[in-house]
Amino acid sequence: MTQQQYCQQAEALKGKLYRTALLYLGSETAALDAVDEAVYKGLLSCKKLRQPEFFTTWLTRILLNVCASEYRRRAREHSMAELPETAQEQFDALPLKEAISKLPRQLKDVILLRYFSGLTLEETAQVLDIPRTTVSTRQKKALTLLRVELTEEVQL
Amino acid sequence: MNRTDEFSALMTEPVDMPPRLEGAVQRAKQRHSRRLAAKVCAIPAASLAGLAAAFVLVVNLSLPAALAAGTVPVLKDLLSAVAFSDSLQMAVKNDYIQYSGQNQTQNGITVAIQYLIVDKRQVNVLYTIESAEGHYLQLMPTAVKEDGVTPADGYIGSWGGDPSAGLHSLTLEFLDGPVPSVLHLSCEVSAYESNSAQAPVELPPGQEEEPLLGEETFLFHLPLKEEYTATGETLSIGQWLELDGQRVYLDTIDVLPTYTQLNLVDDENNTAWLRDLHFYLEDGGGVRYELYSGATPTGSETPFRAFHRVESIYFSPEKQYRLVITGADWMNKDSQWLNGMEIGRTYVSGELPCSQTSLSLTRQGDGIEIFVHSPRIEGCSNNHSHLSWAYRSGEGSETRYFQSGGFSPGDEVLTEHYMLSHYPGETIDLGVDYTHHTALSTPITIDLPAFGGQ
Repeated sequence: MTQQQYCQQAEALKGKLYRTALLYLGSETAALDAVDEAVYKGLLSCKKLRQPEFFTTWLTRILLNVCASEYRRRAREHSMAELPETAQEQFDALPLKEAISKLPRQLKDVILLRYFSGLTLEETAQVLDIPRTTVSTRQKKALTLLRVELTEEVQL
Repeated sequence: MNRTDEFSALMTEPVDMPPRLEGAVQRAKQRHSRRLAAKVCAIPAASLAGLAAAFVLVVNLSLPAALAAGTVPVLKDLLSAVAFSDSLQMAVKNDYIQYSGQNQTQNGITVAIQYLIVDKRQVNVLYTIESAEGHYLQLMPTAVKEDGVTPADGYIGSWGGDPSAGLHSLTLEFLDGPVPSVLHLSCEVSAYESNSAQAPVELPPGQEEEPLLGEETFLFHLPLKEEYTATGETLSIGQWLELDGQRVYLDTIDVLPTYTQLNLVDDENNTAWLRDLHFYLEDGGGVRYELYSGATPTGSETPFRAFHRVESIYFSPEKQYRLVITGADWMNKDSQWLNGMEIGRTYVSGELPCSQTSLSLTRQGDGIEIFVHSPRIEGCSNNHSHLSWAYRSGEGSETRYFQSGGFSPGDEVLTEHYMLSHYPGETIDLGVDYTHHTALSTPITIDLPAFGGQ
């Protein structure tokens, strides 16, 4: 992919990237920084992307990695540690947005990609480089922790 | 609301996109370019020439390098400031530039004269202006005499653009003689709250202009190096040219770093004045030099235009050129004005001295709007307006100039547009720029003597 092509596609995707980052990090400033970093990293390596049809999943993956790094850094500074899967009562006590942000990373990634970034099960599996069945499993766990029941029609 | 409903609402909740998100891709590109520029600037180069040579070499090698070249400090700003002129860009790339480095600050306004591009006739000043208060600034330059007050003689200045950020340029053209050894430059800087000061100069009645917050005058004394002020060469042609029943003498060609100028002399027996000569210079390899992006003085006190410019050939390695003439625009001597044009009418070809043209005048409130439509001249790269932007209410009355309007050179039709927000008269006289065009089916070619150049 040429740099020009990359820039055009990144321009079109930046809104979705921001939305994902905002939910992940819970802060507008942090989300903007994460998008900046992800877009920059994507620009550096866009020539390695041999299959442009996977652009969205590829750049989203870069973003998630950036968000995860930033989350870890902020968690150390601001006591924002994720909660374990067993902490159902603590999840119940949190506002929904905060509960999402405190999901364990593996579950949070799936929720954000499936429900807030508009990716299919297959695309989510590609982004996270895990089997589809694993995506489904993690998706169910996350929704259970959040006390959310969604039918197939609601899911994106 | 239960968690499921809350979740569903969150999924579809609109997210406000912060304004800063708009520049995400651009920031990434700039960051990437800075990273590459750090490598380019590491090339050992004691002079701007060395960096320019490296710049040219690197640009020609790869796209990432080209991106880097666009943000190399100093060069990037210089090239951006002279982006309107191929000649000045070539001057920069050939290290034909004098560093000035003078700056002054008064009441929070700083004017910095950074660089000068100078030859025998022209001084291009590259400068920045800044307001500590963040006000919008406009700069008006005047070349003055040694006393710092009296305007200098025999020059014209051109400047413009938005000076609110970055390096900008203004041009001073010395018509009556060579450029001075020291340019005394007075800069009047006006400060406004915002850039609404750039709104059309002609405001509707009752509307006040953006309030002026302050004005400061800066005086710079800029020594001009002789190695630049002596630069330029004149080639002799010495031939008569006959076109469409008119005769014009091709006198000389000035080859300067900032432009190439063809100098003509009128035949007083002509029935039309030459308004524009369509031509280009071509080297042995077929490379053409045509059009000139800056302002060209007329060189004459009549409507005859004596000076005609193309971009400079000075820095080209080729020293032998031929002059190729493809056509000309003329104004009949008895058609300088379209007199008594009625507001509310449309005039068509046959009613106007300009063939195949229509002109409509429409009342718009207290003002008028004028459109001129004419076919694009085939094979002509320099189509321009038929009207001269001058108007008057009647013969003998004061000549004024339209402040609002435009020129749109479409693929087939040229559209000229002029506006006045307030004009009470029922008729108007319109100044004519040219009445007819000569197109040569076979261009006239003249071999020029070789020049020394750089």
